[in-house]
Amino acid sequence: MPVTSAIVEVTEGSCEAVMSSLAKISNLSVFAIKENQIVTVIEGDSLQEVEETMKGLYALDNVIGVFPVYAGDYE
Amino acid sequence: MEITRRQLIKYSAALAAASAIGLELPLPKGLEAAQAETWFKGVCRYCGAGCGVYVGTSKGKVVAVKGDKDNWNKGFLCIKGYYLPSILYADDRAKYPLLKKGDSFVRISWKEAMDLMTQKFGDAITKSGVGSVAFYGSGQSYTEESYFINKVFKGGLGTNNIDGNPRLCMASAAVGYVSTFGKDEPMGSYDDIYHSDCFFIIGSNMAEAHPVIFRLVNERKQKDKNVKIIMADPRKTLSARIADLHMSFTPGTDLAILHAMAHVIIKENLHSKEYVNNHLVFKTMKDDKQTKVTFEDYVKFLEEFTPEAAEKLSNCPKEDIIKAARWFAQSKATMSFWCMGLNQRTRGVWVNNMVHNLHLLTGQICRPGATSFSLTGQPNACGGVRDGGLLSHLLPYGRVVTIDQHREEMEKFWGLPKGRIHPKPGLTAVDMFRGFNKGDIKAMWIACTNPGQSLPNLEPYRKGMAGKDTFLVVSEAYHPSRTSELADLVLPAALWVEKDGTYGQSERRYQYIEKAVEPIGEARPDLMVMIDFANRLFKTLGREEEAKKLFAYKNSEDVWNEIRECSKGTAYDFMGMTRARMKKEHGIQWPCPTEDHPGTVRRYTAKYGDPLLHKFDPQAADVSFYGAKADGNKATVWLRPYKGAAEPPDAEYPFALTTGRQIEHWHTGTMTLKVPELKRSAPDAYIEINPRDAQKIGVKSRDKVKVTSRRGSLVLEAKVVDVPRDGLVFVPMHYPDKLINMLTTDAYDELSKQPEFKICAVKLEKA
Repeated sequence: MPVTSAIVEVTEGSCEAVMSSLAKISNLSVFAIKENQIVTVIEGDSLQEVEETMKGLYALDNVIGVFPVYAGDYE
Repeated sequence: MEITRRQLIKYSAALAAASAIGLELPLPKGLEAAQAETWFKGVCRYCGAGCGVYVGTSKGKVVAVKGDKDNWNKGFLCIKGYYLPSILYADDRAKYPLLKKGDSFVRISWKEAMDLMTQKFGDAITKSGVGSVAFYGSGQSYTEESYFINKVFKGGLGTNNIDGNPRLCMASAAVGYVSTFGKDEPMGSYDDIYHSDCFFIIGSNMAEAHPVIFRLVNERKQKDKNVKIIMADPRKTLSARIADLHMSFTPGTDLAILHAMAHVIIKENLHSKEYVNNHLVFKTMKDDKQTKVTFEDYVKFLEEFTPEAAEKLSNCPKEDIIKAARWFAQSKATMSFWCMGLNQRTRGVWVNNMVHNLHLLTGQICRPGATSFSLTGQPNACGGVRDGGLLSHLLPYGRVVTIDQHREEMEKFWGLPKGRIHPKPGLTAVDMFRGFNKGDIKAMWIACTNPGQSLPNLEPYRKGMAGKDTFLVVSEAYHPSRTSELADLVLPAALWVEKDGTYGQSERRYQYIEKAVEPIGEARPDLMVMIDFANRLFKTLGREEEAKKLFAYKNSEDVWNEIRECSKGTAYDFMGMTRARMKKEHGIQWPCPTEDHPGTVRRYTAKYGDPLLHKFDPQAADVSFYGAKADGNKATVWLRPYKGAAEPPDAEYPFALTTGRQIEHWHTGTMTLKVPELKRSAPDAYIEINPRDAQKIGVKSRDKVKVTSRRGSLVLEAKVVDVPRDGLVFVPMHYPDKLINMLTTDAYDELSKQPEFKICAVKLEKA
């Protein structure tokens, strides 16, 4: 099952609002926050599910970038 | 507590991401690189940002890519860079030489391929002269490859029919820099982002086309609330999300806006008297000749470009123009970024000049944070093509074919007889393919690029490339591409880390790419094929002994060492950039004249470290535009008249079509569309229409829309979204089965010869 981590960058002062939106995404965990950057990990039953979640992040208000950093897989 | 494999992988993923932004998480370590055995240093294969990467291999295959934390990109990569390993193992990698027989291709040996290619080029030269052969290259080839083939054509054969795809992407920026500053390439660096208080971004969707540079801009804004971002773009793109001011305007009218900003700056006395008095000349064109005028003439010229007049022409509110002008001039340091929105225009050079005008007029230049910075589309358009002189009017390192001294210097350096290099520029991209259509060019070699998809007004050029009376060789890593399908001979090319070489990116940073794996199948590095071809061709032409002297290279390092010598004493000067340093360091910015020089962050300023400034202008106190020796080392503020697009919308074709990039894909998609993750994320072309225009033509998202220009039609799925302004539609350029360039215009800038991809007139109807 695929796992991907990504930095989600948001506009100034919108971290809290974006965090609320992220909390509604069941296959996404937030590990850390630094200023306007949120460290996320996305899991899924398939790569497609992970990709769709990542793509959906761009559609969230105040998100200005999603930077994947790492991908792994576990059985 | 025992952790599960799932938790370990999650921790590992989180660690890597946190580490990329300088956070340490108290989690298990040592897992990140588990799947790779060896890591090689390199550069991302895609855009001109030039992100440093490490490429991880296992059992002879590339299995991972990670960002280089010690490079300018601080370990960050965009989504495309992250999935780079997949491009090497796509099903359609070209593995063997292929010869077209009838309507299909058959596998042949390398010997057969090279014999045939040599015979065809040799026949053309013997029967029709050296002007009957041509090479069309790429801003993606390594520097060594571009330098070498340039030497073969311009120096060895004596033809300047050698051009490349940067003519479609960077030519206006290059001519803009040269006409303003006397020499090409930005004077500043990404480092300026950290010092800037105002960013003026025009004609660039940085968030999608250059995401890692964009994140530096965003980081700067987040750290200092006083930083202002002005975004001038007819689309309200993802990049506009961080803008303090979004200036929307009718496509093609930005010349009026930029002049109006200059008008406001002078009227409100915000210009720099120091620059006007000491560092600038003012010029206009009169009877096709450059003519010097005065500052007062410039002020008079600008009188008609009031904010009101500019609003009338552009539909950009005058209040926005005034605000932008004040922010630009009054910030502590202003940095401009632009890309294809300015370059791919019939007035591309003029509009580049106008951005430079604003910097020069306000003194927002040549100090930290203040600079005029052109973003680059390809990873080695700057290094291999602009610096290396691959375009048909250029010679290496700031020289041009039309200047006697420059030709003589290169003839001497290459050991050629006097007069070998032709004094007239050769054919430029569009004209080269027109020449091929007409049969004036009998044999053409295309390497590392895909003009069968990327040229504007494609149909006639595709017909020409498929012609039976000419001979077309295509060196490609993939087959079929929309170009290789038209070839007579396809040569399989080693890709990216299957070979070693050098890339030079937007901020003059040159980086060495290590070879990490063997090429797939029988693919060979283009450099080795070029050396082989040159030696065979010269033997065919009875010039074997000359070839031995001219082309005596064993590998890319031999070529690189010659490049360093060739740059010596010029404004580029790579002498300090030895291969040993390049392997060790994370890129070096030229000029770098000695082995102990760290590289140059800012040019044209002694105070901020240009090592060549006093060599070229010994009397200068600090700033000197020493590339412009003929103008007393002063930069030029150009009085360019207003002129709109070549084909504006009209009653019959009422919409403006613009093309561009999506974050997932790059150029013609030969690489990114082979990455399953990227293809799934962005699988197909679409047409972006705003809700008001969509309502007018009665379409909603996912409806099919027929888009028609004077040159062709295409049916695309509608994406109704409030991004383009009224009357503008956008289509991504990446998709080989939806050739949007069948519709675009091949009208080009008279100065740069760069076509106007960004604006043509279309009509829409529900399909």
